[in-house]
Amino acid sequence: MNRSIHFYIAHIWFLINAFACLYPPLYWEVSNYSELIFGFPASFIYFMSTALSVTLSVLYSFWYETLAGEFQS
Amino acid sequence: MMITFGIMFLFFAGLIVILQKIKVDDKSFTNYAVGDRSFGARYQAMSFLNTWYPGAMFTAFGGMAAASGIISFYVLSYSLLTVVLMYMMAKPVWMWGKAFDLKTQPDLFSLRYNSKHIRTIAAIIGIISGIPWLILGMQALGEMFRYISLGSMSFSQAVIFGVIVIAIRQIWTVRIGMRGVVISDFYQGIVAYILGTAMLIGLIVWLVMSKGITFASLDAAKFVIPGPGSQEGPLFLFSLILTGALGGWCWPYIFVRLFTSNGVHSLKKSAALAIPLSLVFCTALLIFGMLAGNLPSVGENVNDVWFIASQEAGGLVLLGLAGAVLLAASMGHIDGNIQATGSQIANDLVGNYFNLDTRQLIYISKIGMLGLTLLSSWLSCMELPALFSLAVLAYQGIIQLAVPQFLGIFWKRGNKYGAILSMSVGFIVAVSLELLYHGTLPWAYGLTSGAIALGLNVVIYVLAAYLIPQDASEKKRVNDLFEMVSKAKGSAPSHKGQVNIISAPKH
Repeated sequence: MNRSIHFYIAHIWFLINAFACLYPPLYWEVSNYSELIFGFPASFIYFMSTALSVTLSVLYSFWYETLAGEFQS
Repeated sequence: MMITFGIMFLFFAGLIVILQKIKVDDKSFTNYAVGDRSFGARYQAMSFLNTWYPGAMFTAFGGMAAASGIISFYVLSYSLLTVVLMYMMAKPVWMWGKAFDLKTQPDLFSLRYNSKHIRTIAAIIGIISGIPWLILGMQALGEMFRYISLGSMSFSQAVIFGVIVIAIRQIWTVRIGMRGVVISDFYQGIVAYILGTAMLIGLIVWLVMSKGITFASLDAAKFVIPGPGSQEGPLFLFSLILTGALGGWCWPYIFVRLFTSNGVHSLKKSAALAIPLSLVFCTALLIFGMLAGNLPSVGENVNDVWFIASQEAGGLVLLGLAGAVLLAASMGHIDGNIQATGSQIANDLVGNYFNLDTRQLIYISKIGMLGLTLLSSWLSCMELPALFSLAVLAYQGIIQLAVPQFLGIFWKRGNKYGAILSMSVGFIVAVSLELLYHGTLPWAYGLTSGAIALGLNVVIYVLAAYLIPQDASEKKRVNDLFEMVSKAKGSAPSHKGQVNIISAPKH
């Protein structure tokens, strides 16, 4: 089956998200940074960035599948 | 008290009006158990959220954010990752569900592994693990009624009152089945997560503008994620997010949401609708909790942070609304749990060994729901000191279903021997470790008992898959199942002929 480039982008994005959410050295490093960035702690920015990325990846995946006619019977 | 209880009464009356308008339709067990697979994306999204986020979000996780700070954001990470899993599972699970008339999670196990007994094992693990959470949900309602009665009810009176309210609500769950659960989830979801989010945002603005509480005013210790050298262990967050994301879909009442949709499109669209709502709601709740934890009035009572801040910001009216929001969230979770358990008792336990017609299946399901409601109501009114430990233990146990579930959906090679052995050993190991170490394993670098058992579970499953190869007919059967999904484009199975070719285990 021929897969569009969007399929691979979405799935790689899912994997990157899982890695960013789960890879311990990443959040240890973030937690060590004690300065506030624009009034927010680094650990908060880390959680929000990963959360936003996960959200956008699902929206992107649904968008391309709809455009590609994946849901037409 | 008239104001707070009056607001909650209005919410409850609105719910009863909606439930009364739903037509009771007992024409098939599929209708009773999964609402005839008839729900569109908006109902699906709200139903998922209303089952996923219980009322305890406002008390336990709000309290955790207030007391412990940023670590509470793990619930946001795993709640969003679980929607990714939902998105990925949507097509195979829905298509198999439609083609083989699957109604419960153990039905899927039985189909994938061609085994009758795996259905019983999965159902027993699911039902037993769900009971402590049901009792906790009912007791949380008691805690809420105690608070909004403004001290005029004792804790035990409030618990009994909460149990009576939730038991009355179950009359409609038992009568109508899944259709009633999903439609009421929509109403409850709007109150809990739309009104609730609006209140949370308003309270954050109030905390910042009126109270001058910002992130800068919080203790720096609240921004620390446990790492090497921490008391929790360096892998603590990893463990929480991994087991949370995988474990969510192991709960029968969450998994059954995949069967209530009217197609793959609706299911995936519901994920696209639910994920931004989940992001905004959960973020608002956790930020609120962190900031409100600095209110002097909260002090040690962190689990009451939602009520304390609401009352302080908006008086009795906002306190009443806070109660209605928590009640709406709690009801969705409790209804879903009771409905799914009733279906499992009829479909996967009794129906697995006796040939039952539609009327008998629905009757047993109703009796099961009624029995569960009475049992959990009775237990909720008792002093159960080890209840929370039991609930944690149940969670570590039930996530062991994840390995045969996810690998079974995405990998052809797994077999029933591996599936039964891996989840049974995983369950026993997780429960034993939990009983032995009471939640903290000193040698595990922060990994929970469930995460360690999951590792062992995967090894057993994969080893069995290679050491005990599927025979030719089983290989063909599983291949046909996977081909059915990979060849189909669209929301419904496009080659229905295969439904007859592949033999699903019948009960």
